[in-house]
Amino acid sequence: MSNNDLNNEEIRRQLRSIDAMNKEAMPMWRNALTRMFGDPNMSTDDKAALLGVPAPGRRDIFKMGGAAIAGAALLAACGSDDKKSATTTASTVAPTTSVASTTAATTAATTGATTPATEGSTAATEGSTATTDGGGNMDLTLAKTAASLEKLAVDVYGTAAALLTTPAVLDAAKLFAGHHQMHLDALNGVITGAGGKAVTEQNKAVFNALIKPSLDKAKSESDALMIAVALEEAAAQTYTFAGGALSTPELRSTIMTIGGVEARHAAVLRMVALAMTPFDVFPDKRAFFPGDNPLAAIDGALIS
Amino acid sequence: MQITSREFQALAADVDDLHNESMKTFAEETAELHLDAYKASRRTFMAGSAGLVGAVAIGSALVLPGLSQRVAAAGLDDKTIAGYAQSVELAAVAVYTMAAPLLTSATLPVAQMFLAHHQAHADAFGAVAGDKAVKAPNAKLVAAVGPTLAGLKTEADALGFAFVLEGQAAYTYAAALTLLQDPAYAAATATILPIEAQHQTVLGIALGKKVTDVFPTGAFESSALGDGTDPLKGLDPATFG
Repeated sequence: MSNNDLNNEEIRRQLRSIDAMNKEAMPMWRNALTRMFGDPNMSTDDKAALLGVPAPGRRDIFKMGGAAIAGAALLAACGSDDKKSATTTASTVAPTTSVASTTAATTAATTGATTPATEGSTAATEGSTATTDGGGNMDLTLAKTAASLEKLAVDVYGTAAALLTTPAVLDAAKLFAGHHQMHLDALNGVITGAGGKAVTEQNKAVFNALIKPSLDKAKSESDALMIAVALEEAAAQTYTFAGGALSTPELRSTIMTIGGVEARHAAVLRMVALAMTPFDVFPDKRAFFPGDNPLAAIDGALIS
Repeated sequence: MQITSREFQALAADVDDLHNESMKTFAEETAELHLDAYKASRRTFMAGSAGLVGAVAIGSALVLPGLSQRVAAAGLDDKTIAGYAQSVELAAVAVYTMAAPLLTSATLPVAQMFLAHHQAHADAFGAVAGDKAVKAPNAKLVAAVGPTLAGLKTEADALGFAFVLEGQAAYTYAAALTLLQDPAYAAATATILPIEAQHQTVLGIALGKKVTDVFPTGAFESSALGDGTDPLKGLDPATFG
């Protein structure tokens, strides 16, 4: 194993710096979310892809994969527009490792014409997403479901904190919980802007199906940190999937400017907090980040 | 962050085969370098688009309406971008190979793994580049980094150089994603960008950099392009294409 020669104070100082950068970045993220939910030309499938949730007609590409906790962030947030009952799956799919293997998924995922980004679209979207049938309702549903997942992440970090004995690591957990809280706030801003009610409760269905078993098994600080790593990597994988599934080049690039940083975050957690080696950052020496969306559909996960 | 020699040595055998595999075609590619440099100098597929692409800054993709149409007008199709990406990946393979003599047995296995990654990325891009696929590293890029490479004296120098190059690769792909029209090409690129970002992160930690310094462009990857002199910008095809 590698050695960690950073003292607690140094780690705290660095985490504060990262926190400052995150706060600076949040307005951009919120703007992107608002545009995505407010864009009438962005299909429900594309929005579902962005959020990492199942979409109508695309269940075949939404399969559970990766570590158990991966499902926590990729969670089956919703089913289809007609709210068909869904079942939990635990099948594992091979990571995407080539252009050829991504083609089928993304071709199926991306439907309809691309829509160029519209400058200053943020204000124009408010109040428009909750007024139409189908897509409009699904916009709010997806936003609420995503918000419930962010709340879940906040709660999970809070629960895991009881296992953290290293002050610097605890500080990190609090920091990342704060990040998820900011994500929740951003999503709720979109929801309330569209006339909906802010989400304040975690997604209980997902917690019971995926998170609780993992937390129940966690006995040490390392266990808790592995949950955090899995969450970050799952987020990066979600963005990687969305990087090929969103409808416009602009959105795909924007998503991946975030996804890349999530991947860095996971690498830092592994090597600095868990004192792992570089080879642990690249399981099986993988040359490609998984681009499939490890997702399970869970009854009750949809927050309408 | 320290990586023990024992750890790396134990893993060295595991990655040696990857290195050997990746090196199979390097000699041939290097031999063709000068020929391709001549050919590359005649390509003008980025004519008129340098300023446009260079204007793409962090997060700015959302406020650049019509970018895709203008890029298409500039003649940058997906296959051309894939071919360019392939050439950059092959250049990364060449750089790691050239830097290898400076690396100790402690760090060499990691560099070899990264080299193998870049070779795999090059193969992936080459497979979809069609008639725009290349057989050699990006000649202009190799020529541009040549003097710096020749001046590297220590392992830290080499790792520091790779740190910058990996970041530039990640940023190049963030910019490429603003251009790629076919979602399949974008999907492939999206699976590669995080790997380059993690390469840079790992190298930064191995170099003992502060955590903040392994997020060189903050909370977002840069999607800006430059002429290679700015470590916070990707490699502009207008310069290296």
